[in-house]
Amino acid sequence: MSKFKNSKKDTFLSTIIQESLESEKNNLSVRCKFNFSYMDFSQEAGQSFEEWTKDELEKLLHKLKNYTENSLSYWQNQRVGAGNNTVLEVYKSFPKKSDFIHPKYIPHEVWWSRFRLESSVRLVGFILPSEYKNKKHPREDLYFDHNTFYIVFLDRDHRFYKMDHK
Amino acid sequence: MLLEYGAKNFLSFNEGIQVSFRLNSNCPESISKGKNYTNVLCVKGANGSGKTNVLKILNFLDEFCCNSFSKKPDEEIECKSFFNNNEPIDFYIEFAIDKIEFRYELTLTKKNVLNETLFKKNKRTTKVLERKNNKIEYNSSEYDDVKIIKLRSNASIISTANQYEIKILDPIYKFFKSIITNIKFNFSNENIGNALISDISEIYYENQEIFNFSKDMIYKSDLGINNIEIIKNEDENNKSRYFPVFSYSLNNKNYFLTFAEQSSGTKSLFNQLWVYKNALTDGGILVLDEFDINLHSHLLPLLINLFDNESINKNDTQIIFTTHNTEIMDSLSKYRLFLVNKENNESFGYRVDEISGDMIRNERPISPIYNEGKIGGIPKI
Repeated sequence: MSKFKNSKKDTFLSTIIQESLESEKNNLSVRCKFNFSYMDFSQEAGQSFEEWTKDELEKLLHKLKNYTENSLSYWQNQRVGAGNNTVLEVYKSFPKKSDFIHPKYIPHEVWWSRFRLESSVRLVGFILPSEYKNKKHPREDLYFDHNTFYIVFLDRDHRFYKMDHK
Repeated sequence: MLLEYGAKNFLSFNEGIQVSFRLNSNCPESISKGKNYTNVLCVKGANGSGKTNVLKILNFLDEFCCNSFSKKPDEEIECKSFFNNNEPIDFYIEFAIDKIEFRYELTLTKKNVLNETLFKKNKRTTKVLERKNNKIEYNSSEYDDVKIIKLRSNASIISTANQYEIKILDPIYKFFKSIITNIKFNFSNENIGNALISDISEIYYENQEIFNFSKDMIYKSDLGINNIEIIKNEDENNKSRYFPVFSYSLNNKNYFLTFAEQSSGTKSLFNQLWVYKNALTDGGILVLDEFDINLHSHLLPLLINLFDNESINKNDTQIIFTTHNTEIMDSLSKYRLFLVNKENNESFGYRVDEISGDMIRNERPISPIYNEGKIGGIPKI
Protein backbone atom coordinates (compact mmCIF):
# COMPACT_ATOMS: atom_id res chain seq x y z
CA MET A 1 0.00 0.00 0.00
CA SER A 2 1.64 3.21 -1.16
CA LYS A 3 0.59 5.15 1.95
CA PHE A 4 2.90 3.03 4.05
CA LYS A 5 5.93 3.23 1.76
CA ASN A 6 9.13 4.66 3.14
CA SER A 7 11.57 6.62 0.97
CA LYS A 8 14.40 6.24 3.50
CA LYS A 9 13.98 2.47 3.41
CA ASP A 10 13.94 2.43 -0.41
CA THR A 11 17.06 4.62 -0.58
CA PHE A 12 18.87 2.48 1.99
CA LEU A 13 17.98 -0.79 0.27
CA SER A 14 19.11 0.60 -3.09
CA THR A 15 22.59 1.26 -1.66
CA ILE A 16 23.15 -2.33 -0.49
CA ILE A 17 25.74 -4.08 -2.63
CA GLN A 18 24.14 -6.57 -5.01
CA GLU A 19 27.10 -8.68 -6.06
CA SER A 20 28.93 -11.39 -4.21
CA LEU A 21 31.83 -13.58 -5.27
CA GLU A 22 29.62 -16.58 -5.76
CA SER A 23 26.78 -14.79 -7.54
CA GLU A 24 25.45 -16.59 -10.58
CA LYS A 25 26.53 -13.74 -12.84
CA ASN A 26 29.80 -12.92 -11.10
CA ASN A 27 32.75 -13.63 -13.39
CA LEU A 28 35.61 -12.40 -11.23
CA SER A 29 37.39 -15.75 -11.44
CA VAL A 30 37.12 -15.66 -15.23
CA ARG A 31 38.77 -12.26 -15.63
CA CYS A 32 42.41 -12.60 -16.69
CA LYS A 33 45.35 -10.89 -15.02
CA PHE A 34 48.60 -9.37 -16.24
CA ASN A 35 51.86 -9.81 -14.39
CA PHE A 36 54.70 -7.34 -15.02
CA SER A 37 57.43 -8.83 -12.83
CA TYR A 38 59.12 -10.85 -15.62
CA MET A 39 59.62 -7.88 -17.94
CA ASP A 40 62.94 -7.64 -19.75
CA PHE A 41 63.91 -4.14 -20.87
CA SER A 42 67.49 -5.08 -21.72
CA GLN A 43 67.06 -6.41 -25.24
CA GLU A 44 67.64 -4.21 -28.27
CA ALA A 45 64.54 -5.48 -30.12
CA GLY A 46 62.19 -4.38 -27.37
CA GLN A 47 61.50 -1.18 -25.52
CA SER A 48 61.20 0.05 -21.94
CA PHE A 49 58.20 2.05 -20.66
CA GLU A 50 60.29 5.18 -20.98
CA GLU A 51 60.71 4.59 -24.69
CA TRP A 52 56.98 4.51 -25.31
CA THR A 53 55.15 7.80 -25.69
CA LYS A 54 52.48 8.88 -23.22
CA ASP A 55 49.93 8.20 -25.94
CA GLU A 56 51.25 4.66 -26.49
CA LEU A 57 51.26 3.95 -22.75
CA GLU A 58 47.72 5.24 -22.35
CA LYS A 59 46.57 3.02 -25.20
CA LEU A 60 48.35 0.08 -23.57
CA LEU A 61 46.57 0.65 -20.24
CA HIS A 62 43.18 0.97 -21.90
CA LYS A 63 43.82 -2.25 -23.84
CA LEU A 64 44.91 -4.05 -20.66
CA LYS A 65 41.79 -2.89 -18.88
CA ASN A 66 39.69 -4.17 -21.75
CA TYR A 67 41.51 -7.53 -21.90
CA THR A 68 41.06 -8.13 -18.16
CA GLU A 69 37.27 -8.21 -18.62
CA ASN A 70 37.56 -11.72 -20.07
CA SER A 71 39.59 -14.86 -19.70
CA LEU A 72 42.77 -15.67 -21.57
CA SER A 73 41.01 -18.52 -23.36
CA TYR A 74 38.35 -16.05 -24.53
CA TRP A 75 41.04 -13.85 -26.14
CA GLN A 76 42.63 -16.92 -27.71
CA ASN A 77 39.42 -17.34 -29.68
CA GLN A 78 38.83 -13.70 -30.63
CA ARG A 79 39.82 -13.05 -34.21
CA VAL A 80 41.51 -9.79 -35.12
CA GLY A 81 43.03 -8.20 -38.24
CA ALA A 82 43.55 -10.09 -41.48
CA GLY A 83 43.91 -13.84 -41.81
CA ASN A 84 43.50 -16.20 -38.89
CA ASN A 85 45.13 -13.99 -36.28
CA THR A 86 43.66 -13.91 -32.79
CA VAL A 87 43.99 -11.30 -30.06
CA LEU A 88 46.02 -13.74 -27.98
CA GLU A 89 48.25 -16.10 -29.88
CA VAL A 90 49.91 -18.96 -27.95
CA TYR A 91 53.06 -20.21 -29.69
CA LYS A 92 54.13 -22.45 -26.79
CA SER A 93 57.83 -22.70 -27.68
CA PHE A 94 60.09 -19.70 -28.11
CA PRO A 95 60.09 -18.80 -31.84
CA LYS A 96 63.06 -19.98 -33.82
CA LYS A 97 63.11 -16.82 -35.88
CA SER A 98 63.08 -13.91 -33.46
CA ASP A 99 65.10 -10.79 -32.71
CA PHE A 100 64.63 -11.57 -29.01
CA ILE A 101 66.30 -14.25 -26.94
CA HIS A 102 64.76 -16.33 -24.12
CA PRO A 103 65.71 -14.56 -20.86
CA LYS A 104 67.48 -16.97 -18.54
CA TYR A 105 65.28 -16.22 -15.52
CA ILE A 106 62.10 -17.34 -17.25
CA PRO A 107 61.22 -21.02 -16.60
CA HIS A 108 61.85 -23.25 -19.59
CA GLU A 109 58.38 -24.88 -19.54
CA VAL A 110 56.31 -21.71 -20.15
CA TRP A 111 54.18 -21.25 -23.23
CA TRP A 112 55.31 -18.18 -25.15
CA SER A 113 52.45 -16.03 -26.34
CA ARG A 114 51.60 -12.55 -27.47
CA PHE A 115 48.71 -10.08 -27.23
CA ARG A 116 48.09 -7.96 -30.29
CA LEU A 117 47.80 -4.29 -29.29
CA GLU A 118 47.51 -2.66 -32.74
CA SER A 119 48.91 -3.04 -36.28
CA SER A 120 52.50 -4.08 -35.59
CA VAL A 121 52.53 -3.51 -31.83
CA ARG A 122 52.67 -6.66 -29.68
CA LEU A 123 52.79 -7.44 -25.98
CA VAL A 124 54.98 -10.52 -25.68
CA GLY A 125 55.03 -12.86 -22.73
CA PHE A 126 53.97 -16.27 -21.60
CA ILE A 127 51.23 -18.28 -19.98
CA LEU A 128 51.53 -21.51 -17.99
CA PRO A 129 51.29 -24.89 -19.72
CA SER A 130 47.98 -26.71 -19.33
CA GLU A 131 49.50 -29.58 -17.31
CA TYR A 132 50.07 -27.14 -14.43
CA LYS A 133 46.34 -26.55 -14.07
CA ASN A 134 45.12 -27.18 -10.49
CA LYS A 135 48.70 -27.79 -9.34
CA LYS A 136 50.48 -26.16 -6.45
CA HIS A 137 54.13 -25.23 -6.32
CA PRO A 138 55.82 -27.90 -4.14
CA ARG A 139 56.96 -25.30 -1.59
CA GLU A 140 54.21 -22.68 -1.71
CA ASP A 141 50.59 -23.23 -0.74
CA LEU A 142 49.38 -21.45 -3.85
CA TYR A 143 48.08 -22.68 -7.16
CA PHE A 144 49.77 -21.96 -10.49
CA ASP A 145 47.61 -19.38 -12.19
CA HIS A 146 46.24 -20.26 -15.60
CA ASN A 147 44.47 -17.04 -16.20
CA THR A 148 47.50 -14.75 -15.94
CA PHE A 149 49.52 -13.40 -18.83
CA TYR A 150 53.14 -12.77 -17.75
CA ILE A 151 54.46 -9.83 -19.81
CA VAL A 152 58.12 -10.03 -20.88
CA PHE A 153 58.66 -7.69 -23.85
CA LEU A 154 57.13 -4.51 -25.24
CA ASP A 155 57.39 -5.25 -28.98
CA ARG A 156 56.47 -2.12 -30.90
CA ASP A 157 57.82 -3.38 -34.23
CA HIS A 158 56.65 -6.93 -34.29
CA ARG A 159 60.13 -8.47 -33.93
CA PHE A 160 59.27 -11.36 -31.63
CA TYR A 161 57.67 -13.82 -34.02
CA LYS A 162 59.10 -12.79 -37.35
CA MET A 163 57.22 -15.33 -39.43
CA ASP A 164 53.91 -13.86 -38.33
CA HIS A 165 53.30 -11.81 -41.45
CA LYS A 166 55.41 -13.67 -43.90
CA MET B 1 -3.38 -15.51 11.82
CA LEU B 2 -1.45 -12.27 11.52
CA LEU B 3 -0.29 -11.70 7.94
CA GLU B 4 1.07 -8.14 7.93
CA TYR B 5 0.71 -4.77 9.57
CA GLY B 6 2.07 -1.26 9.44
CA ALA B 7 1.83 2.33 10.53
CA LYS B 8 2.69 5.85 9.43
CA ASN B 9 3.47 8.92 11.51
CA PHE B 10 3.63 6.73 14.61
CA LEU B 11 6.34 7.18 17.28
CA SER B 12 9.74 7.17 15.50
CA PHE B 13 8.20 6.31 12.11
CA ASN B 14 7.56 9.47 10.12
CA GLU B 15 6.98 7.66 6.85
CA GLY B 16 5.50 4.20 6.62
CA ILE B 17 6.58 0.94 8.19
CA GLN B 18 5.28 -2.40 6.91
CA VAL B 19 5.92 -5.68 8.68
CA SER B 20 5.02 -8.87 6.87
CA PHE B 21 4.62 -12.44 8.08
CA ARG B 22 3.80 -13.58 4.54
CA LEU B 23 6.17 -16.00 2.81
CA ASN B 24 6.40 -16.36 -0.94
CA SER B 25 7.44 -19.31 -3.07
CA ASN B 26 11.14 -18.29 -2.90
CA CYS B 27 11.19 -19.26 0.76
CA PRO B 28 12.63 -22.77 1.20
CA GLU B 29 10.31 -25.49 2.46
CA SER B 30 12.54 -26.02 5.52
CA ILE B 31 11.54 -22.51 6.68
CA SER B 32 7.99 -22.20 5.36
CA LYS B 33 6.92 -25.80 6.11
CA GLY B 34 4.62 -25.43 3.15
CA LYS B 35 2.77 -22.41 4.60
CA ASN B 36 2.50 -18.94 3.08
CA TYR B 37 3.11 -17.22 6.41
CA THR B 38 5.62 -17.54 9.21
CA ASN B 39 4.96 -18.24 12.87
CA VAL B 40 8.18 -16.55 13.94
CA LEU B 41 9.50 -13.07 13.17
CA CYS B 42 12.56 -11.55 14.81
CA VAL B 43 13.07 -7.77 14.92
CA LYS B 44 16.62 -6.50 15.28
CA GLY B 45 18.14 -3.07 15.37
CA ALA B 46 20.55 -0.86 17.27
CA ASN B 47 19.55 0.64 20.61
CA GLY B 48 17.21 3.54 19.92
CA SER B 49 16.60 2.48 16.31
CA GLY B 50 12.89 2.05 16.97
CA LYS B 51 12.64 -1.74 17.02
CA THR B 52 10.39 -1.75 20.10
CA ASN B 53 8.16 0.72 18.25
CA VAL B 54 7.63 -1.95 15.60
CA LEU B 55 6.02 -4.04 18.36
CA LYS B 56 4.19 -1.07 19.86
CA ILE B 57 2.06 -0.85 16.72
CA LEU B 58 0.54 -4.23 17.62
CA ASN B 59 0.35 -3.27 21.25
CA PHE B 60 -1.60 -0.14 20.35
CA LEU B 61 -3.95 -1.90 17.92
CA ASP B 62 -4.66 -4.57 20.55
CA GLU B 63 -5.40 -1.95 23.22
CA PHE B 64 -7.42 0.29 20.94
CA CYS B 65 -9.55 -2.37 19.28
CA CYS B 66 -10.24 -4.24 22.53
CA ASN B 67 -10.30 -1.68 25.33
CA SER B 68 -10.87 1.83 23.97
CA PHE B 69 -14.60 1.74 24.77
CA SER B 70 -13.79 1.45 28.47
CA LYS B 71 -12.01 4.84 28.41
CA LYS B 72 -13.83 7.96 29.54
CA PRO B 73 -15.57 9.67 26.57
CA ASP B 74 -13.36 12.77 26.82
CA GLU B 75 -10.10 10.89 27.40
CA GLU B 76 -7.31 11.33 24.87
CA ILE B 77 -6.29 8.34 22.76
CA GLU B 78 -2.92 7.05 23.97
CA CYS B 79 -1.15 7.25 20.66
CA LYS B 80 1.91 9.33 19.85
CA SER B 81 2.66 10.73 16.42
CA PHE B 82 6.18 11.34 15.09
CA PHE B 83 7.63 13.94 17.47
CA ASN B 84 4.07 14.80 18.57
CA ASN B 85 3.09 16.49 15.30
CA ASN B 86 -0.59 17.22 14.68
CA GLU B 87 -1.00 15.14 11.52
CA PRO B 88 -3.16 12.00 11.65
CA ILE B 89 -1.59 8.63 12.42
CA ASP B 90 -2.32 5.70 10.10
CA PHE B 91 -2.37 1.97 10.82
CA TYR B 92 -3.24 -1.14 8.89
CA ILE B 93 -3.30 -4.80 9.74
CA GLU B 94 -4.08 -7.86 7.63
CA PHE B 95 -5.04 -11.17 9.20
CA ALA B 96 -6.86 -14.38 8.45
CA ILE B 97 -9.67 -15.92 10.45
CA ASP B 98 -10.70 -19.42 9.36
CA LYS B 99 -8.81 -18.87 6.12
CA ILE B 100 -10.72 -15.68 5.28
CA GLU B 101 -8.45 -12.65 5.02
CA PHE B 102 -9.36 -9.30 6.55
CA ARG B 103 -7.75 -5.91 6.36
CA TYR B 104 -8.41 -3.28 9.00
CA GLU B 105 -7.35 0.35 8.47
CA LEU B 106 -7.34 3.06 11.09
CA THR B 107 -6.62 6.77 10.94
CA LEU B 108 -6.75 8.89 14.07
CA THR B 109 -5.34 11.76 16.05
CA LYS B 110 -4.96 11.94 19.82
CA LYS B 111 -8.37 13.58 19.96
CA ASN B 112 -10.48 11.45 17.67
CA VAL B 113 -10.84 8.60 15.23
CA LEU B 114 -11.03 9.87 11.67
CA ASN B 115 -11.48 6.60 9.87
CA GLU B 116 -11.88 2.89 10.50
CA THR B 117 -12.35 0.55 7.58
CA LEU B 118 -12.69 -3.20 7.40
CA PHE B 119 -12.10 -5.16 4.20
CA LYS B 120 -12.84 -8.82 3.63
CA LYS B 121 -11.22 -11.00 0.99
CA ASN B 122 -13.58 -13.44 -0.65
CA LYS B 123 -11.86 -14.14 -3.94
CA ARG B 124 -11.45 -10.37 -4.21
CA THR B 125 -11.03 -7.77 -1.49
CA THR B 126 -14.14 -5.73 -0.74
CA LYS B 127 -14.95 -3.09 1.82
CA VAL B 128 -17.47 -4.38 4.35
CA LEU B 129 -17.49 -1.60 6.93
CA GLU B 130 -16.39 2.01 7.03
CA ARG B 131 -16.58 4.56 9.78
CA LYS B 132 -15.77 8.24 9.20
CA ASN B 133 -15.49 10.37 12.30
CA ASN B 134 -18.44 9.25 14.43
CA LYS B 135 -20.60 8.06 11.58
CA ILE B 136 -20.88 4.68 9.89
CA GLU B 137 -20.35 5.67 6.30
CA TYR B 138 -20.80 2.24 4.77
CA ASN B 139 -21.57 -1.31 5.74
CA SER B 140 -22.29 -4.38 3.69
CA SER B 141 -25.58 -6.12 4.48
CA GLU B 142 -23.68 -8.72 6.49
CA TYR B 143 -22.69 -5.96 8.90
CA ASP B 144 -26.14 -4.33 9.24
CA ASP B 145 -26.16 -4.93 13.01
CA VAL B 146 -23.47 -2.30 13.56
CA LYS B 147 -25.92 0.44 12.59
CA ILE B 148 -27.29 0.56 16.13
CA ILE B 149 -23.91 1.53 17.54
CA LYS B 150 -23.43 5.04 18.84
CA LEU B 151 -19.83 5.79 18.04
CA ARG B 152 -17.51 7.71 20.32
CA SER B 153 -14.64 9.80 19.00
CA ASN B 154 -12.00 8.05 21.15
CA ALA B 155 -13.24 4.47 20.80
CA SER B 156 -12.84 1.81 18.14
CA ILE B 157 -15.90 0.43 16.44
CA ILE B 158 -14.56 -3.04 17.27
CA SER B 159 -14.28 -2.36 20.98
CA THR B 160 -17.66 -0.61 20.93
CA ALA B 161 -19.36 -3.46 19.04
CA ASN B 162 -18.04 -5.87 21.66
CA GLN B 163 -19.76 -3.84 24.38
CA TYR B 164 -22.97 -3.87 22.32
CA GLU B 165 -22.55 -7.66 21.99
CA ILE B 166 -22.72 -7.45 18.20
CA LYS B 167 -21.74 -10.89 16.98
CA ILE B 168 -20.58 -10.06 13.46
CA LEU B 169 -17.47 -8.25 14.76
CA ASP B 170 -16.76 -10.87 17.42
CA PRO B 171 -14.13 -12.78 15.40
CA ILE B 172 -12.32 -9.49 14.65
CA TYR B 173 -12.41 -8.54 18.35
CA LYS B 174 -11.12 -11.98 19.30
CA PHE B 175 -8.27 -11.66 16.82
CA PHE B 176 -7.09 -8.44 18.47
CA LYS B 177 -7.69 -9.96 21.89
CA SER B 178 -5.32 -12.80 20.99
CA ILE B 179 -2.39 -10.36 20.77
CA ILE B 180 -0.36 -10.73 23.98
CA THR B 181 2.51 -8.34 24.66
CA ASN B 182 5.14 -7.73 27.33
CA ILE B 183 5.66 -4.13 26.26
CA LYS B 184 4.30 -2.78 29.54
CA PHE B 185 5.48 -5.59 31.75
CA ASN B 186 8.99 -6.87 31.22
CA PHE B 187 9.37 -10.49 32.32
CA SER B 188 12.97 -9.90 33.22
CA ASN B 189 12.37 -7.13 35.68
CA GLU B 190 14.59 -7.91 38.64
CA ASN B 191 12.37 -5.84 40.92
CA ILE B 192 9.26 -7.83 40.16
CA GLY B 193 7.08 -7.56 43.25
CA ASN B 194 6.11 -10.38 45.59
CA ALA B 195 2.47 -9.85 44.72
CA LEU B 196 3.20 -10.63 41.09
CA ILE B 197 5.28 -13.68 42.02
CA SER B 198 2.29 -14.86 44.03
CA ASP B 199 -0.04 -14.30 41.06
CA ILE B 200 2.23 -16.21 38.69
CA SER B 201 2.72 -18.98 41.27
CA GLU B 202 -1.05 -19.24 41.63
CA ILE B 203 -1.36 -19.84 37.88
CA TYR B 204 1.15 -22.68 38.21
CA TYR B 205 -0.60 -24.00 41.35
CA GLU B 206 -4.00 -24.05 39.71
CA ASN B 207 -2.93 -25.42 36.34
CA GLN B 208 -0.77 -28.52 36.38
CA GLU B 209 -0.34 -28.61 32.61
CA ILE B 210 1.09 -25.11 32.50
CA PHE B 211 3.26 -25.89 35.53
CA ASN B 212 4.63 -29.11 34.03
CA PHE B 213 5.45 -27.36 30.78
CA SER B 214 7.30 -24.57 32.61
CA LYS B 215 9.12 -26.92 34.97
CA ASP B 216 10.30 -29.01 32.05
CA MET B 217 11.73 -25.93 30.30
CA ILE B 218 13.41 -24.71 33.50
CA TYR B 219 14.96 -28.14 34.15
CA LYS B 220 16.31 -28.14 30.59
CA SER B 221 17.95 -24.77 31.10
CA ASP B 222 19.20 -25.07 34.71
CA LEU B 223 21.22 -28.22 35.30
CA GLY B 224 20.91 -27.97 39.08
CA ILE B 225 17.18 -27.78 39.74
CA ASN B 226 15.50 -31.15 40.23
CA ASN B 227 12.07 -30.01 41.42
CA ILE B 228 9.91 -26.92 41.85
CA GLU B 229 6.97 -26.82 44.22
CA ILE B 230 4.37 -24.13 44.65
CA ILE B 231 3.48 -23.56 48.31
CA LYS B 232 0.14 -22.05 49.25
CA ASN B 233 -0.39 -20.30 52.59
CA GLU B 234 -2.40 -17.42 53.99
CA ASP B 235 -1.27 -13.95 55.00
CA GLU B 236 -2.44 -12.06 58.10
CA ASN B 237 -5.64 -11.01 56.27
CA ASN B 238 -6.48 -14.63 55.46
CA LYS B 239 -5.69 -13.98 51.83
CA SER B 240 -4.10 -16.83 49.89
CA ARG B 241 -0.42 -16.38 49.00
CA TYR B 242 1.57 -18.58 46.65
CA PHE B 243 5.35 -18.90 46.26
CA PRO B 244 7.72 -21.31 44.57
CA VAL B 245 10.41 -23.41 46.25
CA PHE B 246 13.27 -24.69 44.13
CA SER B 247 14.86 -28.00 45.04
CA TYR B 248 18.52 -28.90 44.35
CA SER B 249 20.20 -32.23 44.92
CA LEU B 250 23.66 -32.37 46.48
CA ASN B 251 25.30 -35.62 47.64
CA ASN B 252 21.95 -37.41 47.57
CA LYS B 253 20.37 -34.78 49.78
CA ASN B 254 17.82 -32.19 48.67
CA TYR B 255 18.33 -28.50 49.43
CA PHE B 256 15.67 -25.84 48.98
CA LEU B 257 16.08 -22.28 47.73
CA THR B 258 13.62 -19.41 47.37
CA PHE B 259 12.70 -17.44 44.25
CA ALA B 260 14.95 -14.56 45.34
CA GLU B 261 17.92 -16.93 45.44
CA GLN B 262 17.46 -18.04 41.82
CA SER B 263 19.56 -16.86 38.88
CA SER B 264 18.18 -14.03 36.72
CA GLY B 265 17.63 -16.56 33.95
CA THR B 266 15.58 -18.94 36.10
CA LYS B 267 13.52 -16.04 37.46
CA SER B 268 12.90 -14.78 33.95
CA LEU B 269 11.80 -18.22 32.72
CA PHE B 270 9.54 -18.72 35.74
CA ASN B 271 7.91 -15.34 35.04
CA GLN B 272 7.25 -15.86 31.36
CA LEU B 273 6.86 -19.55 30.55
CA TRP B 274 3.21 -19.66 31.62
CA VAL B 275 2.50 -16.98 29.00
CA TYR B 276 4.01 -19.19 26.30
CA LYS B 277 2.02 -22.22 27.35
CA ASN B 278 -1.19 -20.20 27.39
CA ALA B 279 -0.44 -18.80 23.95
CA LEU B 280 0.43 -22.25 22.60
CA THR B 281 -2.84 -23.60 23.98
CA ASP B 282 -5.08 -20.75 22.84
CA GLY B 283 -3.35 -19.71 19.60
CA GLY B 284 -2.74 -16.03 18.99
CA ILE B 285 0.19 -13.70 18.67
CA LEU B 286 2.93 -13.20 21.24
CA VAL B 287 4.63 -9.83 20.99
CA LEU B 288 7.76 -9.91 23.12
CA ASP B 289 10.29 -7.13 23.63
CA GLU B 290 13.76 -8.37 24.64
CA PHE B 291 12.27 -11.34 26.49
CA ASP B 292 15.65 -13.10 26.44
CA ILE B 293 17.52 -10.32 28.20
CA ASN B 294 18.59 -12.51 31.14
CA LEU B 295 18.74 -15.78 29.28
CA HIS B 296 21.77 -17.54 27.86
CA SER B 297 21.96 -17.20 24.10
CA HIS B 298 21.61 -20.97 23.71
CA LEU B 299 18.18 -20.86 25.36
CA LEU B 300 16.69 -18.62 22.69
CA PRO B 301 16.55 -21.36 20.00
CA LEU B 302 14.82 -23.61 22.56
CA LEU B 303 12.11 -20.99 23.10
CA ILE B 304 11.78 -20.19 19.39
CA ASN B 305 11.41 -23.88 18.68
CA LEU B 306 8.19 -23.90 20.72
CA PHE B 307 6.62 -21.83 17.94
CA ASP B 308 8.57 -23.16 14.98
CA ASN B 309 7.98 -26.83 15.72
CA GLU B 310 4.58 -27.84 14.38
CA SER B 311 4.30 -30.81 16.73
CA ILE B 312 4.52 -28.42 19.72
CA ASN B 313 2.78 -25.40 18.18
CA LYS B 314 -0.43 -27.18 17.22
CA ASN B 315 -2.61 -24.05 17.33
CA ASP B 316 -0.53 -21.96 14.92
CA THR B 317 0.55 -19.44 17.55
CA GLN B 318 2.80 -16.69 16.20
CA ILE B 319 5.62 -14.85 17.90
CA ILE B 320 7.25 -11.54 17.00
CA PHE B 321 10.12 -10.51 19.23
CA THR B 322 13.08 -8.17 19.55
CA THR B 323 16.45 -9.45 20.68
CA HIS B 324 20.10 -8.47 20.73
CA ASN B 325 21.06 -12.09 20.16
CA THR B 326 22.77 -12.31 16.77
CA GLU B 327 23.37 -16.06 16.50
CA ILE B 328 19.64 -16.64 16.14
CA MET B 329 19.68 -14.85 12.77
CA ASP B 330 21.32 -17.78 11.03
CA SER B 331 18.68 -20.32 11.98
CA LEU B 332 15.82 -17.90 11.32
CA SER B 333 17.01 -17.02 7.78
CA LYS B 334 16.34 -13.82 5.86
CA TYR B 335 12.60 -14.49 5.61
CA ARG B 336 12.05 -14.23 9.36
CA LEU B 337 14.31 -11.31 10.17
CA PHE B 338 13.21 -7.71 10.25
CA LEU B 339 15.81 -4.97 10.67
CA VAL B 340 15.20 -1.46 11.92
CA ASN B 341 17.44 1.51 11.11
CA LYS B 342 17.30 5.15 12.04
CA GLU B 343 18.39 8.12 9.92
CA ASN B 344 17.95 11.74 11.01
CA ASN B 345 15.83 10.48 13.90
CA GLU B 346 13.43 8.71 11.55
CA SER B 347 13.11 4.94 11.79
CA PHE B 348 12.59 2.66 8.85
CA GLY B 349 12.44 -1.11 8.65
CA TYR B 350 12.71 -3.94 6.15
CA ARG B 351 12.63 -7.69 6.14
CA VAL B 352 16.02 -9.09 5.16
CA ASP B 353 14.64 -10.90 2.11
CA GLU B 354 13.68 -7.48 0.72
CA ILE B 355 17.39 -6.89 0.12
CA SER B 356 17.88 -7.61 -3.55
CA GLY B 357 21.05 -8.94 -5.07
CA ASP B 358 23.19 -11.79 -3.99
CA MET B 359 24.65 -10.79 -0.64
CA ILE B 360 22.21 -12.92 1.36
CA ARG B 361 22.08 -16.46 0.08
CA ASN B 362 19.66 -19.09 1.36
CA GLU B 363 22.35 -21.53 2.39
CA ARG B 364 24.78 -19.06 3.98
CA PRO B 365 24.80 -17.55 7.50
CA ILE B 366 23.55 -13.97 7.80
CA SER B 367 25.23 -13.02 11.08
CA PRO B 368 28.76 -12.38 9.66
CA ILE B 369 27.34 -10.02 7.01
CA TYR B 370 25.10 -8.37 9.61
CA ASN B 371 27.97 -7.95 12.09
CA GLU B 372 30.06 -6.22 9.42
CA GLY B 373 27.28 -3.66 9.00
CA LYS B 374 26.62 -4.53 5.37
CA ILE B 375 22.83 -4.86 5.70
CA GLY B 376 22.10 -2.25 8.39
CA GLY B 377 20.45 -2.73 11.76
CA ILE B 378 23.60 -2.32 13.87
CA PRO B 379 24.89 0.59 15.94
CA LYS B 380 27.27 3.00 14.19
CA ILE B 381 30.15 2.97 16.66
